[in-house]
Amino acid sequence: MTGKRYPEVTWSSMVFGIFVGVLMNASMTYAGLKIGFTITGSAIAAVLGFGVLRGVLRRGSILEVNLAQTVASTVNTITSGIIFTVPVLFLIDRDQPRGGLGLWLITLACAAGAVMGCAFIVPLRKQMIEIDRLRFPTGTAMSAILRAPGAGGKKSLVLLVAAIFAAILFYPTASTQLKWRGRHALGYSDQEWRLAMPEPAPAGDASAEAAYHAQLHRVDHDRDGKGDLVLDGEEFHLGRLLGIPDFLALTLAISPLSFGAGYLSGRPGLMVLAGGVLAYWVLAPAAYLGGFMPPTVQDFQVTESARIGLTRPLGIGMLLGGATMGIVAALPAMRAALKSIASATRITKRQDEMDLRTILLIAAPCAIVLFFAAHLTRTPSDSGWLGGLPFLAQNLVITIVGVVWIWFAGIIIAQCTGMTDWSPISGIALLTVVLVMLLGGTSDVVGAVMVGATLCCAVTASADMMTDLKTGQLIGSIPRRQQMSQTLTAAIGPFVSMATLMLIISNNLEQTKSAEIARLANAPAAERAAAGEPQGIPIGPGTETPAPQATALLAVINGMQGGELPYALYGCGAVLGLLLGVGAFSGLGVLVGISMYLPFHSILTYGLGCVTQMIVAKVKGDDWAEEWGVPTCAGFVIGEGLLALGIAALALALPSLEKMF
Amino acid sequence: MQWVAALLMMIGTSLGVYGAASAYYVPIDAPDNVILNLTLNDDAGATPGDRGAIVPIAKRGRNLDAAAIAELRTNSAGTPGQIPAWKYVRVKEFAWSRWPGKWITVTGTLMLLGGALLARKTRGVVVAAEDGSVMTISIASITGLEADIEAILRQSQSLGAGKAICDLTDAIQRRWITPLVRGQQPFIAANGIGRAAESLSALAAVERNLNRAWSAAADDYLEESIEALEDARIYCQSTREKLAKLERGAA
Repeated sequence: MTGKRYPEVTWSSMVFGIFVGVLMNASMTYAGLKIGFTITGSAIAAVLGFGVLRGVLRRGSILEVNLAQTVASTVNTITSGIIFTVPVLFLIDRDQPRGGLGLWLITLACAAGAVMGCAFIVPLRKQMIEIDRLRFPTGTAMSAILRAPGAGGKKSLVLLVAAIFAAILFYPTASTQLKWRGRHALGYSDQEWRLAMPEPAPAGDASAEAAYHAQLHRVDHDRDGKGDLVLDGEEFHLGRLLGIPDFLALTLAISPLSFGAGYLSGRPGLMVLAGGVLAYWVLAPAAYLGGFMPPTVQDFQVTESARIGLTRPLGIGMLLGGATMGIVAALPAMRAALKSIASATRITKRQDEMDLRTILLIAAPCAIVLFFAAHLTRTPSDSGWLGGLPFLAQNLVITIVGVVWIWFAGIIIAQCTGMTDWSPISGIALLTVVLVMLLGGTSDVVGAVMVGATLCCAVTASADMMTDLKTGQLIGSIPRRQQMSQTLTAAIGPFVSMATLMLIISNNLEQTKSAEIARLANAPAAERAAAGEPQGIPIGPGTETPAPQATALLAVINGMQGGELPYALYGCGAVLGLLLGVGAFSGLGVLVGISMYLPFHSILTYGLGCVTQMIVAKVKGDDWAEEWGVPTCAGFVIGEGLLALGIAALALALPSLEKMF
Repeated sequence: MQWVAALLMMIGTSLGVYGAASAYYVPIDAPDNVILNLTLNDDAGATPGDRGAIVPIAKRGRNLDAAAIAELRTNSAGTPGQIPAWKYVRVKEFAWSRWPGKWITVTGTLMLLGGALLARKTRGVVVAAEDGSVMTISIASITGLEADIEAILRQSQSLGAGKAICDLTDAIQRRWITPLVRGQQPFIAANGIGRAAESLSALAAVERNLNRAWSAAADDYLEESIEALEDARIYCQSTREKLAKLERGAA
């Protein structure tokens, strides 16, 4: 096919990307509010792109499909920014005006944040992708998927078989969400693989009886008269099987995606495993045995108790310290990158990178929008660090801090995603809300939620942009085209999410109000009088959409207002993270921080992937490990991702189907 | 020395986080003026409950008044065979003077700092001594890469099919790009990240254009593929120029 322009940014790729993104965004908003499920959806958009653009429409080059998945994931990924934060306003105040100016200002601020997140991360592409060469496991997997048809039949087959294998392995972990007429689909727990119960001791033998009780305590924690499950939900309790003490958690997540991400990260990912070992095999048992946990905590609760009260805040601190050190260490590279972007020298006839002037032209109006949104949604307050300043000045400072924080947090999230594929967005959202409440006073929840939502949208957009740019590097896209497409479409997501949220809230109010009216119709008169006019519940417990992440954020806000946040742990973590970055390589603090932040079973599976990559590389050579390992792991990523989405969609649809049939 | 540094960092981090674990804990037998009127931020103490359950003596959020402190102290010896003895309670308020593990954290932090500085000092030496299969980023290696790209460009008119260009660019990736990418860390260690950045960025553009040539060839857009190979060649020249500038600067 000579003489024709190679299609990359085309109407079909843009329209298709926006269409798929909007569909996924609306579904993910509902799924996220109902079951806490969110996914960026790059893999799904890539597969749909292949199916529709190449398969049905008989068009679409590799780069065109990549552009479509880039746009689709941009529109969709911002969902979490809205659903982690905005429902908090309705959880606090049931009478929060729906669709009022305040909420649309928050939406506008989120859209501005998403665009700003895209623009701010552009200058860091050279440093993260070209110089640091961060792996971005999903980005690498996407490139393998996009290249599969051209890479030969064998690699495509490997990818397909791996995807099917991953789906089969993952299905029983999520299948219990599928309920039909009160019964759920069979999952791993239903296999009833349990530890054997001990034989009762003969009566009168005190030592045998003591041994029996000790063994009973070990195999039956919940005292239900049955041995504990070895395969439980998405967890494989290897430690239980091997008889390892319960405070040393040895549990693997049954997640081909985590394994694949670990393999794609390779040796550098081992630091995550090391951090996890430090957190859960050193710190948690030491704190438990040293008495730094409540005596009500039992052996099998140590890991979770340590995660909530200790390793998570330390991990967030380490992320902050580690990222600061990472930025300091990368300053020379950033300066060189900025210099090259600013000079806009074209070595070839194409302009490869979005220039600094365009970035500033995009970011400046977004900052102004953020300022007006803050000014119009916040309530004047005399408390907080800015309490002495006039209201206008307060909002100006909050805007400046918010913009700087968006840049900084965007780097943290993009680095985490680049190194491990995980992004601690909820932790960063928490810190943002804390920061704004410290500045504007603890009563300024609306302002805090607004900036928190804006930041969440911004950092998810940053991380997604960098992941897509990694894919682009590996398949030869022109960065500027991806950057422009993504920046232009980033604002769509918040509006779709918010509109979906409003629709869900209206439906919830109607449903819960009708249910209450029906209940009171048969109630005694006294109860009817006491209940007053039936009021609906907008969101949260008592509705179809419990909004788990927003409920968790509300708990943090309440904790903040009650002075319960562990600032000293954040501080210790930050100092340690900073110092870790001084050593061998600057990203170490971030890696150890994220491993302390995440649950250990995910880290172990991820670590298993890293170790497998090292063994394969040692036995078969680096090239073989790359050539065949990448399509295999891409299959794992896509297999689990597609199946999780399918199950979530089915779980949402089944109740309606049940009513129909 | 690298091992010593790693060991120091490992022990330092472990001590640091272990000490930090006690930041909000206060011994129940601390003097009254230290502990009185603090607020519990976790359940405190334990006594046996019904059917073998263990229940807290004081719930989270309770103010540590004289009665609560007395009750907690009375039960701190535990219950033989059921609840071990316990010593600390977790409170909301932080104070440096109350922090039981502060010196452990300080010691850990200092060890970590020492280990990190040692690791930084020995980093360049170790990286330079790594596996010999890693290709050095130099004018000579980039010239070799450029020669291979030129060879494909010379053959391009006769190749005809996209598959042939895919195979040839794959071969270049394996022969040059992968080993050169592995050589990035020693290159950064030798030149510093600021000075190395420009050359590495140009080399990454070579790689990206080779990938573009592959994709275009796989989609059968041969003209675009050849154009991308031309661009890769131009970026090779740019990389060589930047390396030459770097060498002149070093001299």
